[in-house]
Amino acid sequence: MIALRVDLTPRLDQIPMNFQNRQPLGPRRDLTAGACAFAIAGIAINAVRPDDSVSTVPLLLDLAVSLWATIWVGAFAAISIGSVNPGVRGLFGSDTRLFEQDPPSGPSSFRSGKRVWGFAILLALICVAEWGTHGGARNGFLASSRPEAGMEDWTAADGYATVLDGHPAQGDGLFLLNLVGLFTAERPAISGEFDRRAGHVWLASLLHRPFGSYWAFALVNLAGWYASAIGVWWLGRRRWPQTWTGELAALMVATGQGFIFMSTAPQAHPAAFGAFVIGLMVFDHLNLWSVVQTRREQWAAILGSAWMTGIAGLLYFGHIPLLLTTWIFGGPRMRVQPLLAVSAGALAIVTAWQVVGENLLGLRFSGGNNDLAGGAIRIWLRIISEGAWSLRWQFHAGSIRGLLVGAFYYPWWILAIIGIFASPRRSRTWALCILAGTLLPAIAFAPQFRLPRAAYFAFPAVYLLAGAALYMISQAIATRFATRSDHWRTAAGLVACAVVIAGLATLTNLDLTGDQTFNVWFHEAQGNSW
Amino acid sequence: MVIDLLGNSLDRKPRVIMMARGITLAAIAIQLVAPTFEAFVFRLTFATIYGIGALVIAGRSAPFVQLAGASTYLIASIAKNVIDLPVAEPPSTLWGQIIDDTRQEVAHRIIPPYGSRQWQLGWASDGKPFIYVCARGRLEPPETLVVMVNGSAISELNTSQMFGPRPQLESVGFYRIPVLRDLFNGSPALDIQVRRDVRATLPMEICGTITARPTAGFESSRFFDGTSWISPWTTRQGRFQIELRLEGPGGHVFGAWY
Repeated sequence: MIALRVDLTPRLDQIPMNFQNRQPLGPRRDLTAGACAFAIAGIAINAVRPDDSVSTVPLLLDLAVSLWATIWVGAFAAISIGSVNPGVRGLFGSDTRLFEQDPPSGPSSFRSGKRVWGFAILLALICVAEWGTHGGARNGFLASSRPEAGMEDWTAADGYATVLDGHPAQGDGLFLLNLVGLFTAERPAISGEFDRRAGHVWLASLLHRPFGSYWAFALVNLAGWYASAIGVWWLGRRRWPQTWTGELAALMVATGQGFIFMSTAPQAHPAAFGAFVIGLMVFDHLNLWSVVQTRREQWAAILGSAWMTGIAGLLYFGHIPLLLTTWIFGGPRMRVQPLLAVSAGALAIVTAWQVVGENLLGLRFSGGNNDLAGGAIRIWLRIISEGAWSLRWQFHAGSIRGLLVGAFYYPWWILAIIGIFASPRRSRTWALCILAGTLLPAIAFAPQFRLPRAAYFAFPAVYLLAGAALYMISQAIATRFATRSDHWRTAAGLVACAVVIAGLATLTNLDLTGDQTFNVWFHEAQGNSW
Repeated sequence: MVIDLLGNSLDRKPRVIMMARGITLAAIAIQLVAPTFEAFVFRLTFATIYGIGALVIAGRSAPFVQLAGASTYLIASIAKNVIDLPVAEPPSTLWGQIIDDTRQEVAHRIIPPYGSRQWQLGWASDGKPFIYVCARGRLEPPETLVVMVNGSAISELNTSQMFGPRPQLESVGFYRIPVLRDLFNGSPALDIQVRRDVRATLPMEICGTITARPTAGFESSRFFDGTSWISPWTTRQGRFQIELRLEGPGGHVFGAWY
């Protein structure tokens, strides 16, 4: 194996990774899933008896997009995971690049350490500024639960709020304090809504004593936010080398809707988002995807990946999108044993906490938020048992398009779709696998609650694809309007990128003007109206 | 030296790495110093799962990242055991004040934010003002509460004013009382009093909650118990759930203030 790896080294350098040498459109699995989606969505729209969901063009389009997206995600995931079976893999042609490293290594766009540090500091400043300006009573999670947002008719003027150390905070924080008290040995074990997310509270408990509850949770969020920005930057530099894709995507994270919405809210999501990105980094860093490894390296990759996935599961349900991504991306290019080993290791970590919590601490891990995933499955089974009409109606009543647009508004999706075509083949495949792995749980959960914050796990893929598109567009503009020298072209490209990033950041910061539209959509999806 | 904080340092610095690992192990050990069995189990589980895994994974990252992470973990672990800052119990988000005597009264002052963008937009859009009072159960005259604004009775609470979900008959919920726009002409503040109807025989309960953004200060809610005034801010860090909302057609709320 080592000899093979050495032999590949010169070939790896020849892999075309810039946009001038991009390869033909998508692998067949993507296209097959797309064709399935068109066919099934077409049948569902035309063959099932008409109802209100197809009564107007906007509703029909909403239904079509919802059906297409769901079927594409499901079919792509099924085909990719099914490809662990040699028979299924053979249907889509053997992967000629199976023995190549994934991702291919390429030089970063920064040549100077000072610029790396400068950009890292810039990211930190943006994250802190966004975190600070959206904290306390201005927090999007809290603000979107106030009567003005029109979502709830039972909340008082402060919304679904509590007061932590004198600061208004999103109401769920109240239910996390028992776990904090347990970690700090001030309270006995009391079962609660968030037993499964105890890893998040453990992180907060490390900061509680010096900073107090409010700032402990807020600082954990900030750490998750910054880790996400740095992680996406790293992934971008690795998978879209010699471009600004990573930098642009990192800026989108630093000004991202999901992080701004959470800001200082005592919630596990930012930490889980960070863990998700770090998980993707760990997979790449340990070369989990590569079969060109010694046995020792492979075990290190499996154990490291399993550990990080388990950690994500202790924070929130981050292990589910990570495992799905692992199987969807790894299915066509890995043997099944490593995939099973990563999954078993990750689930063992999550289960170990439940066993300890139930048997030694008396926690129940049931009730409230603990049971919602099971509830969603029961609802799907009921809907399916009611027949095709009921199933189609679900996509109208619980618009998946509204869910996806709540998580990422149209400009990001448009850029990401352009980015699919602007990206090198393997980067595109990797990003599409993340999209499928992250959107599948959010869609599966939709009959229970439509939660854009669950779909937001897709941000590494969406922002990196959007970054790739933005880079390509900026280069096109730069070449057209600044032909005098490389410096001028670079400057023109930077200006074009800065303008677009500033425009996108203006949208995510709209709440600072009092307009909570995007926070409301992020809170509970857009619905089926456009 | 080329610095890459993302993990591809060209200068591995084995001493720094060993130091980082030692610090991580020390932090795990300090985590386990817990005064109760439950806290020990809890910390053992997470310190082990996070700490040992971090040791292995961090071994692949840049040395200074390892050292910084380990040092942060150690400092936080020491702080957890050394600093005495208990988990503060937040003020209750829902409590009740019983009114069982006609001499008793709940008072709340609201200063409408006339200069705010929300108010001006709502007012210019012909928004209608409502006073919201939260109380327990289904109130129907004569067993009800009377709401007064600036000394004038404006309504007795009744079931037609009930607003929002009430899972059970005895659940708490809002009563939504329309008020005239004229009330705001030249009136810098609304002094709202809620009393028991003189004909009532049963005790009534008015809800209270947290207060974070009062328009007339944290002492704007008061309760007269028949002999003296008591502030729920002093006793419960809270306020009575009496609010002013400006609403447009279709129930759109331009703003809610208390």
